[in-house]
Amino acid sequence: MTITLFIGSLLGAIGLGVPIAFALLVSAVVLMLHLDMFDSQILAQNLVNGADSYTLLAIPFFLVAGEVMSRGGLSQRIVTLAMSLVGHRKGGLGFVAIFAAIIMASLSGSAVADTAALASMLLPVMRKAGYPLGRSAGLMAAGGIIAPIIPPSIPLIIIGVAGGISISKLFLAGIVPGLLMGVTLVVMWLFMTRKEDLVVAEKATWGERLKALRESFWAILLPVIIIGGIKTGIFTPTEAGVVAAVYAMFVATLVYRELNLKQLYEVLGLAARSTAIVMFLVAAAMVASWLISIAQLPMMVADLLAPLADNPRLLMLAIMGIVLVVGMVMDLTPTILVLTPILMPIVKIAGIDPVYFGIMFVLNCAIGLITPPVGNVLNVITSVGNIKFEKAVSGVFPFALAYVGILLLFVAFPQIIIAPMQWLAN
Amino acid sequence: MAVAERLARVTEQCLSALMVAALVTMIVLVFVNVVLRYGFNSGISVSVELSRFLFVWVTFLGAVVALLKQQHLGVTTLMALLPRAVLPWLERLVTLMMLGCALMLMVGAYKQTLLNWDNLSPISGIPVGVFYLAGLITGVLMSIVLLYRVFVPSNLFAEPAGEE
Amino acid sequence: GITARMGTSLPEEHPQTLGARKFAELVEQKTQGEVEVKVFSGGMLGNDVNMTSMLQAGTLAFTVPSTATLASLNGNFSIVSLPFQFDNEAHADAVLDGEVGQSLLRSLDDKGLEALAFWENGFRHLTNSRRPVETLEDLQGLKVRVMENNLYIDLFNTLQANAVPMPVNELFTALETRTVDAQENPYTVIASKRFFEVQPYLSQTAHAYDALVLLASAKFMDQLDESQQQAVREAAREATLYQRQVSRELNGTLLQELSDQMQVNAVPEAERKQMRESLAELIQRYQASLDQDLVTRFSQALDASRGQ
Ligand code: NA
Ligand code: NA
Repeated sequence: MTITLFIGSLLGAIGLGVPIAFALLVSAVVLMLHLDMFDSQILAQNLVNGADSYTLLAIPFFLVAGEVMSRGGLSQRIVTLAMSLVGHRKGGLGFVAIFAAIIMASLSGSAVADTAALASMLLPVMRKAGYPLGRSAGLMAAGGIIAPIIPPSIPLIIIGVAGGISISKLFLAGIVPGLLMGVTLVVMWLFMTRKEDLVVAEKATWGERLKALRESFWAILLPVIIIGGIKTGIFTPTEAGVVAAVYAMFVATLVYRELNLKQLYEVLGLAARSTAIVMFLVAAAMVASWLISIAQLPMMVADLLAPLADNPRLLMLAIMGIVLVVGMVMDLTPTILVLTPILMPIVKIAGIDPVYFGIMFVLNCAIGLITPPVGNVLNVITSVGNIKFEKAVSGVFPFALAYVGILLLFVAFPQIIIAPMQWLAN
Repeated sequence: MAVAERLARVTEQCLSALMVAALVTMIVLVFVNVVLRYGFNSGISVSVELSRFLFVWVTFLGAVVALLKQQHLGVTTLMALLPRAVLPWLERLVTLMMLGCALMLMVGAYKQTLLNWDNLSPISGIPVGVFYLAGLITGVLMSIVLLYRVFVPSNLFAEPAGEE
Repeated sequence: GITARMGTSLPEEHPQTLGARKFAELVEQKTQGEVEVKVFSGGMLGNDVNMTSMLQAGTLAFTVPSTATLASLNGNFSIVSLPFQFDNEAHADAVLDGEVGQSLLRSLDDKGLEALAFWENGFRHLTNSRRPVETLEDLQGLKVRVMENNLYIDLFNTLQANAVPMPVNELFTALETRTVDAQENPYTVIASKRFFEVQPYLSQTAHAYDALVLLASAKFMDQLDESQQQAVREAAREATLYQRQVSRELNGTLLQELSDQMQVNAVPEAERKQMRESLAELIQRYQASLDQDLVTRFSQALDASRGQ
């Protein structure tokens, strides 16, 4: 009853067109009325407390770093480097896209920003070289969603806070599955372009490659600083964020000199606004989650799923099924915010490694970004690439299917994620 | 109409400037703290607390800006299926629901601001009420914007923005 | 019936929550089931500061914050946290249950709170990943995470360590990656937060005693009739005895368990004395900022009940 009321009011409000942050507040108010404890202070207190988190400060910092990098010439240099390395191979531009997507994933925490940057740089070139447009757009979208898996990652920070999971561990655990996503794309692209007749770029000389490497050196150094810094304990994830932001501003304004003060102001304004949008959502979810706790909803869900608790794999499979369906219609951040507090108790009871669970959850929601009916990365690729939504959907379909395949693989063999994480954490 | 729009634009620009200032201060505070800890084995103890204050203010002021620019994340797919004649009424209903939330924020944050005004945060000594003041101001500004939109619907679903 | 909600910030197996569960059971028993208390543990409803503010607003009925948290509501509470003043648990009980402790509890009356009793978090000890701390010199340069509280920051900086204020939810990771070297907490917290997994050394500094305060929301209490209020107060008294007993038993057995996982060392009394002496000026400075009458009565109570 309580569950139906909560989910019904939330989905009802979202369906009517209420922005998700406000829909969460509406569902919280419905729960208040149901529990006979209507009080405006519950809303105000939890909304303010939800935004008051030192850990989440990492979000504006990584957003600043990401925005500065794409506007300050760092992304462009990475694409140039990728082009000089693999551009001459058959289907080479596809490999350029995958390679650049992985590097950019290790610089930024947002799938939407990465996809937009990649697509605006590469899609016109691919179109001109005669690559099938839908498929190319699909590859770009699939490459874009590696960003939230490989650190730094804003969704991993959010699930870390929402579920009480170590963000440092989540960051280290994301590296291998993120790279495996890249490998999957490479294999599929090899297979897809086997028979195509495509224009290939001229092979770059070693001199050109060295030059491209030298120019992108400053950009590629950043993931080394972030991952190295977190692993050796020089800084916490929040501090890694600030270091990334300062470093990106330093490179963009003083080394590459592609960002003047006025542009920097604009970029900071943009990052501040994106921060507010994400954080207001997070804060609103805290209001809902406080009432979810008070209503003892997680216990009800745990009871519901209790028969599966003896078999963690089966439980994982069931949860992944639920998340996949929710992720198809809802965006990544709200899915994490709504489902994590409900699912975390049963995950703990079943003895599933919370870090593994966090990675699986985010990977699953990331796939939702490229599935219809609601997929933000799909939206970006259609508007940047100027192609039809249906065309983007059919282009991305095989890649989305392959991602679901690796998701199932990780359900069957959790060690693929857990073992490297343990190795990296030591 | 034009006056309201200009007022909205000016508010938005002022808030944006404040947010950028707060963001830059946060970056400086946290960064200097890391440098001090590693370079000089010391630190600024107010750094954590002060940056949390600024963060809450950026979040809440930014939420107003996002409301003005209609950038709060939402789903509008279902809307497209409805007959056009219903839309203005649906839009009013949605605005009213949001207005309800904004009013609750305003009233609740007002009570909390008063309650926490002589509750001092342990390191900086800033009243904890200052956190809630951000909620109060946001509640007031949002209520004004939404009240205006109840009477003058402004095509709520004009630019569905996707942010992650 | 009436439903009351109670929040704790520490995990299910910590004496804070164990005491809360006992309190809930006793309230229900003593009101013949008229008042039901639901306990939400582990910070599910927020941290100590958030929950105390919820009590003031009447959106939560009970919580058990530490005296360090309450110092922001009433600065005088920091007198309990001053370093090296209690010899043992019995000494703390005598002072806190005595006239001066009770007047401290009543000082929250005008804040919309009814403080029912002092509970125990315990003596705080130091763990770190560098070396056994046996002398004052061993503390030098150690990066010690402390609560976000000026007294603790000044305390460790005065002892020549480097105090790093940090929220507790970031602490485990910071210790694991050695962003900070050390932290200080009672055995119960060291065990329930599993710090022994990442900190090889535990030094029994007992540098401060941490008391918790069982709080009721005045707004909630006003909803109850007289006999129900009395039942709640009685339940608080009984639960207090239980909570302290559990805390002490656990601190004993946990020390045993922790010594299997960590290298535990005693800190010689002479060294503790030296630490106290180097803090004398700091203690005086903090005392000067508090209510002078309270400071005098507190000192008298400390002396009077020493060694009883
Ligand atoms: Na990333
Ligand atoms: Na989707």
